Amino acid sequence: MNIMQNQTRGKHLFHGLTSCEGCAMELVARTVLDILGTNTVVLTPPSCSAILTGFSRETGWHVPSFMANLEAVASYASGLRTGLEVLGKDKVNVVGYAGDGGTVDIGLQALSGAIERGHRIIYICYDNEAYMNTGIQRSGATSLGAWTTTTPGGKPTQRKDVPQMLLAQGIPYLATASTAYIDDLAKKVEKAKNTDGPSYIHVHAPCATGWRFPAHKTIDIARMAVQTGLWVLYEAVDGRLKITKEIKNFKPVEDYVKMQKRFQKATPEMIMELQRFATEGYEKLAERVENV
Amino acid sequence: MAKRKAMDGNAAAAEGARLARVQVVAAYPITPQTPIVEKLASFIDEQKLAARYINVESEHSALCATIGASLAGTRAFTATASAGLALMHEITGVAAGCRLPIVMPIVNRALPSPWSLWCDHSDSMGERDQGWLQIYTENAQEALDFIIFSYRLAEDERVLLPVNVCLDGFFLSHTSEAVIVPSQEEVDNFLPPYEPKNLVLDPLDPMAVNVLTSPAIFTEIKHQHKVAMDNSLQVFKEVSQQFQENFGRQYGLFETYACNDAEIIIVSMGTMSGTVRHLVKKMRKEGQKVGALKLTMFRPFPGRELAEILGKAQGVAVIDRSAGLGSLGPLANEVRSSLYDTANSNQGPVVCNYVAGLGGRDVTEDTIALIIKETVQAVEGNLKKSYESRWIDLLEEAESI
Amino acid sequence: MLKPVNADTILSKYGKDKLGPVAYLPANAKTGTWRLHRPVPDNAKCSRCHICEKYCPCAVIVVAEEGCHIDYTYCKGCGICVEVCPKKIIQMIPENSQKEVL
Repeated sequence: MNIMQNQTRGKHLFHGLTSCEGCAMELVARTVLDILGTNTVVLTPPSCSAILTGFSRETGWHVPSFMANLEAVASYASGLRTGLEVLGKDKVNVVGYAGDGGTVDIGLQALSGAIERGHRIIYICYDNEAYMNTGIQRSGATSLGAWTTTTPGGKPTQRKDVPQMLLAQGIPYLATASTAYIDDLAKKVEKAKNTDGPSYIHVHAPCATGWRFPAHKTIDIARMAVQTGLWVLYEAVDGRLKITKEIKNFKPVEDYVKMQKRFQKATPEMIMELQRFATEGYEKLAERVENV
Repeated sequence: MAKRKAMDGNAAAAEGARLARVQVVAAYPITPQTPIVEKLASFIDEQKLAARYINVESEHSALCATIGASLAGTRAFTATASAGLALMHEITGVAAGCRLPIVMPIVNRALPSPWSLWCDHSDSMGERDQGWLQIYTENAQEALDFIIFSYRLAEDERVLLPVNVCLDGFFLSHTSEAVIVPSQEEVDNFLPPYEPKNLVLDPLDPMAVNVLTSPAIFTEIKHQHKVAMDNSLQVFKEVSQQFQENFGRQYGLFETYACNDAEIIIVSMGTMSGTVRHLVKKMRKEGQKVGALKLTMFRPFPGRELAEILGKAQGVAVIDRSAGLGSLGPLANEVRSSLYDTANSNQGPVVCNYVAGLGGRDVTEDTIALIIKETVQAVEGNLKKSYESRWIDLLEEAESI
Repeated sequence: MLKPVNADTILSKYGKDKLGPVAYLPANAKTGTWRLHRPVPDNAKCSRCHICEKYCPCAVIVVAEEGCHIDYTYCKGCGICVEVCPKKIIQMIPENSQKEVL
């Protein structure tokens, strides 16, 4: 008997996908579909997630999928969702699954428009902090100090905070998540699924290939980002903010940085600035929770 | 019963979309197209059209959303012009490549730079090789009819391609004239409810659409597209026959006027064609053997059919309403190419290319008279036959203006 | 040129008749061949906590009554399961070693 027939997790994507070993993007995709089930259509841009959508006659998804243009996942999703509603297929989950480049850079306009219009779509950003599929170029989500092929001396500026931008737009459900906290991610996808309107989940997804660390460390590094305060897990239902993973004893940012070769060029000032970003960022969010 | 109403080209196009029972409209405003999507918004608001309206944040998103709606399995519509169309360019290839029967009017307006609000065909010509069918209309009646006509054409299983219905900005889009508006029943008899026949995004029939494609099958998928393009000429004729039976109006791939024994034929597209016919009529009365050919379908280009008519003339004057910088105007290039076999026998006509009517300049009777005069000179050998476009309505002080 | 449609596939049986860019066959790269190290669980010590199953990016681990099973046809050998296992019962063994693992 083939034991894999008893597979309960990750089964809505086929095996034998050519994403890198230890790929967080693949893990997130499998987790998302575990919750959403097969009554789902997925849209991906040309990116690492396009590996799931397919090549020539082969696809990774058990569900229908569409390869959108990089800047247009949310606009294709808007039209698809509207068309499905016209036909009475309201129960179908329409999911945009894009990386940080396709979300925080080139796709931001379409995403913001779709959220403003209130389409019931689930948009999930797997954030590996650079354009990985084209070979590790910096994006608006690349961390300060991080090496990429287009920031060979380390990125001089801090990443942009798109979840907060979208929160300012009044999105009904928004969450951040991490590859290290799969149960937390699953809960958030469940909430997104049940949201009557647009929902957005931004998942921190470390990339062994682009961040220069051994693949088996993927989960540890994702966890370390949360434990240092560099990546805060929170959600906002109708704008009410709640930190879903409170950190009592922060680990030093230096420990996180040391695990990845991409920070080798980062100056001590950059690392200090990252530490400040982590500490103050978490505090700022925590204050907003109390003020609600 | 059909009713006779006064309306401009934009209103007629919107009326056509309403009668075609489009189910999703995704739209973004741009002059001179805006009234089409305003009118459709009103139709939906007043429940004269059972459709959903998506107010997108750009033309790029307008076409993406239209494609999304089409892939869901609905009859989808958008409209654009000029810079908006240029912004869509990346996506026009997706609509065509995924074989989606979308109908999108282009209300022709010059592309910047210089900025212009007014008509020329540079916007739609930029899309001519993207794999859409392109139909150029002359009046509001054609604008209305061709929206309905184009859905039937696009949705035919032998075609399955998107269609641009082009309207000259302002000359047609904002000029009121009498239009026969068919009844809903008449249109329903001609155009059945939408049934997706090819790619859909439906969890009950999963497939991955628009995937990355290897060199092993890319050419073949493009060739399927080419075959559909070729098919559409024949399907156009069949749909035209049906249209004539249902509505009493007949449309060809092109329309000829006094071409049978014509020595000089003027080839034009869009609104200027009426002026051309008017002048030809006058000149015929004076005994001059001139004819007019109005091209309706530019993509696919009905070259073979066209050559049969034009091949008999001595001179062909092609008026391009776009600059075709670096070459002849795009229409002239096509016409010249279609006449190549005839030309080789040394009996083919002299083809003269005239660029006129750019950025909203009117193509007047005088301009057309000058075109005919120069073409006659070329036929008589008094004008150097050359591979160049002649800018016929250029002001004398062009270099110093 | 195209592979025949696998009768077992849950994807569109009709996709092959469609026009345009469409995929209808399941992806099936034998990614196990990438592996330099093979994760080998000691099922006598496995607590059946399912954490390895939950974090395997390729979903090639199933924890059943008998313990942790790994599908080596597809396992890329990333070693995440080794790291996340709370009891540390999975070991990475070099693929070229002579040690019998199954």
